[in-house]
Amino acid sequence: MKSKNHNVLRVYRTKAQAKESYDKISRFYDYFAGAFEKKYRNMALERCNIKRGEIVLEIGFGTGHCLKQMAQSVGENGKAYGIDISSGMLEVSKQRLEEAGLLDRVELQCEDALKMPYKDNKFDAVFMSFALELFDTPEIPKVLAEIKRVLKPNGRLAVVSMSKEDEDSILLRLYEWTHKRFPQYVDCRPIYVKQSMKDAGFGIAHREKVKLFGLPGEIVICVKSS
Amino acid sequence: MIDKELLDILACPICKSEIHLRDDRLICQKCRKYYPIRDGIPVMLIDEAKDLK
Repeated sequence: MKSKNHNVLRVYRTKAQAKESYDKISRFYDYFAGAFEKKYRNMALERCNIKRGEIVLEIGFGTGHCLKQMAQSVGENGKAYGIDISSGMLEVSKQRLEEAGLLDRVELQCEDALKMPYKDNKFDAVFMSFALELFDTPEIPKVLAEIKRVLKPNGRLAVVSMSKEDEDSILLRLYEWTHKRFPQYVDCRPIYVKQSMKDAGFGIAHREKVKLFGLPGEIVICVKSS
Repeated sequence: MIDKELLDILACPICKSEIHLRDDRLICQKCRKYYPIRDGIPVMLIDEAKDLK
């Protein structure tokens, strides 16, 4: 199955370009992408089942909607960490969390998920909503290995992402064409979600296919086996 | 200010070993590098790491 990855499109923009464009759109992001993502990120959060007292991490927190819910779920004795490559997104999220009175149980940082500044075995759960598919194809196994490193044994990873599993749809091909043609606007693209997590050595606990306005998506919860 | 809980979880992004807080900098003795803290937020990016003298 590993060989299927040659079908996954590359990411045709650099990290510096990603940082720049996300900084620019951070104030408006919720108006166009927010509605598209809301239902599925909430489904994935529900499946992730974050409990009181847990230490959790979101990679690519964007405008901070999920991080807010995660901070509520962990309660006063837990902690929600968040990393994002864009400092513009960090500002938007910080404001949201401050308004919700949750800043004291959240730590936000501008980081690259490929080189996370955390010790091994520290998190009960890691959450990624429409973020894994923003990494270039050779980076995906590296990000997953890094997540595995920071998760506690039996810690879980929840991912909601565009999926390439149901390959043959005209809409998907059109989307991929747009991704190739306009990489700076359409930077995410469908990937093999469950398979990538399996290849990284995670145990799959839950997987469901969803439709994102006609485009295939996957919600996968996996576990770092002890 | 960086709280103890955060210091306990943070590691050097290069070698993943323990970091120490000294004079508003986060120091990795192993790599002989330090990371800045801006507006109370540690900036643990490899590009931002500076060599210890």
